[in-house]
Amino acid sequence: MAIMEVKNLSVIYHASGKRVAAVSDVSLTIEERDAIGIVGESGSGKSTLAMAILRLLPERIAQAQGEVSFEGADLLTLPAEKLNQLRWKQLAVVFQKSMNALSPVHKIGMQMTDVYRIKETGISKRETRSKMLQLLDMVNLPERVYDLYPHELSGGMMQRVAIALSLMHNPKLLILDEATTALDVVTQGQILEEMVALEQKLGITRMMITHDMSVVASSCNKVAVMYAGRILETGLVKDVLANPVHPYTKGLLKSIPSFTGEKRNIRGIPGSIPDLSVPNDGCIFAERCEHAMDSCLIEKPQDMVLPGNHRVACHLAGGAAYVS
Amino acid sequence: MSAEQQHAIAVDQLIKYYSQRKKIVSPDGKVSRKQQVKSVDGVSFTLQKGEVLGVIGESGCGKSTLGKLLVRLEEETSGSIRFSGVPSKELHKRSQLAFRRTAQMIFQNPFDTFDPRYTIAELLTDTLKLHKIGGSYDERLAMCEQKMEQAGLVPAQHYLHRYPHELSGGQLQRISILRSMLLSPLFIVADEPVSMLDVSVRADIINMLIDVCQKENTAMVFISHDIISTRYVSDKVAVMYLGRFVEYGPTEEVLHNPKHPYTKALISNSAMLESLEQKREVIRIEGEPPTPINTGPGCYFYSRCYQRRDSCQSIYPDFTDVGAGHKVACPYTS
Repeated sequence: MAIMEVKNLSVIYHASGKRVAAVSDVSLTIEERDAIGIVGESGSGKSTLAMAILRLLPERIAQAQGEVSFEGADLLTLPAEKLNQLRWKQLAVVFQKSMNALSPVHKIGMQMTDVYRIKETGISKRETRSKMLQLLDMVNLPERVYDLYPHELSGGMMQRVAIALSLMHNPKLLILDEATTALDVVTQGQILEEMVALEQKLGITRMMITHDMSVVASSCNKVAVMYAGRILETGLVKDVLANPVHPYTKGLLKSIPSFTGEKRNIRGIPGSIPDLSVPNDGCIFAERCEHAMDSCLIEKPQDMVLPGNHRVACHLAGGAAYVS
Repeated sequence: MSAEQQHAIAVDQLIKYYSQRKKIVSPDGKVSRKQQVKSVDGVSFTLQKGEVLGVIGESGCGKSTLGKLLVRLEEETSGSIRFSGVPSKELHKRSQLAFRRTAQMIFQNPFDTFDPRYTIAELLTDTLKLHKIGGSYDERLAMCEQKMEQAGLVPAQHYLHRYPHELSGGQLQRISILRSMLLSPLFIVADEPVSMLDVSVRADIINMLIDVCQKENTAMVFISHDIISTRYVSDKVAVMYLGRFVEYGPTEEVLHNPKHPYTKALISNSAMLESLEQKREVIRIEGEPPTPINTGPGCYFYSRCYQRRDSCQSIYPDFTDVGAGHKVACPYTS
């Protein structure tokens, strides 16, 4: 069953007289218990997409159109009170620097109980404490963390606290926006592994935003490749990463060195993301694509559905011009 | 030429302790006591001309301090660094300019590397002017232009008259590498040169780095926490933990046949595309590295090791050769 459906979502930023189309016409379905990874270069609109779904964008400068239905409610038009009820309880988010949100002058335990008691009123202090200790244990932190100040913890531990906070009400959908990017290899590996185990236990659906393909490969089952505000390719991780169809996905994968096997030639994608304030009618990737044809510059490619609900937005997918 | 002179760089027992004053209140009043943070604690290695050593490890293990010591941005506490047999201290004392022609560094963040008030042309030609290379500005500019085009920044005119903020991170990092290589140094330190860059440009920067080092026959120390890109760049790999090398040897040998428990944990925890095909077992190690202050006599990794034994606590294991130059500081490798 689909837990969230995003239909034709577009986000336009109005900045200094320009209209920047940060996300344009994105449709995405997230099934229950999925772990979907959203990958792309910096500036491709991944974070904007997440912020639009959570309705955290500043309304004065960002204009979101489309529909985001979450359990039957459209998040974009929901009244603020109703939305407040969903946040934390159903929808939780962890940002890259979530740990910076911790107040330096209060103990971790106190900050956690404060947040908990906003939603869960009429619960005794002792009960809250035992619940918080349980949460800390869930993310593999020792009990003593409850009585420590943030400066006494390392970055990895603080990020774990942030993850514990997001899990406190057993949310249905958890959004991680580069939540492990700033961490060390060992810490990142451990947190990812813990996340996957927790999800299976609690039945959480996860949306993970990252620029690191290998993180997606090791912790997600679905992936959506985003470029310049559009989703170019989506499907199961084992389909998309093993048999990429879109030239952009291929390029991204080619630029990542591999650990085993021969040292094949790694190659970057030449060029950079186009100016999104200029309207583009054709394929957004055409400028950097080595297989671009005339039609790519004029016509916007439609989603092409391959077996396994593997969707690709490319004129060349399935076409004779693109056999290799 | 003696064997020692053939090495581009030879480092022997390099040590850097930072002292820290910590006030300790004892029953008989305040006592101020010095503590030493052992940032780099006895590192030795040699590199031939054109060889690349990759240094990997977690944050706080002393990788960057090692890099700075090698190019004398930090003064070592003890130990020696020799370039082609000449002690670096002497070289630096004799002439700073000559030293900078021998050893150069590439930094992590290309946006902080350049003075924002100068154009790329000024930034590059100033380096040559300082070292009295080229007779006139035009001559120097032509030299830079030629080097840039060789490095794939085509057309060079397009970049020369811009300011650093007008270029992207990838382009700036190329120019940063280029500027360090302008003087054809004997040795170069690259401190996390790609970790600030986007995935799609990382590959190109890595390729360029490998190319220029081969062309100029420059020895390089490549510092990174990314094991996979290190594999592409280096001939040898050293794994660092709390200021010491725990494993050292030829790249493929160390990464595909790791012996030290820390190396094994590090490799098993790094996310890779290959994990898609086969699920690897993740080795769990507890917590974070301790601070290198009171390290005690035993193995530094003892507190987090998953195969520790009581004997590890009493003496730091020797750095032993397990064959083909593969050295490990752990007696229980089988």
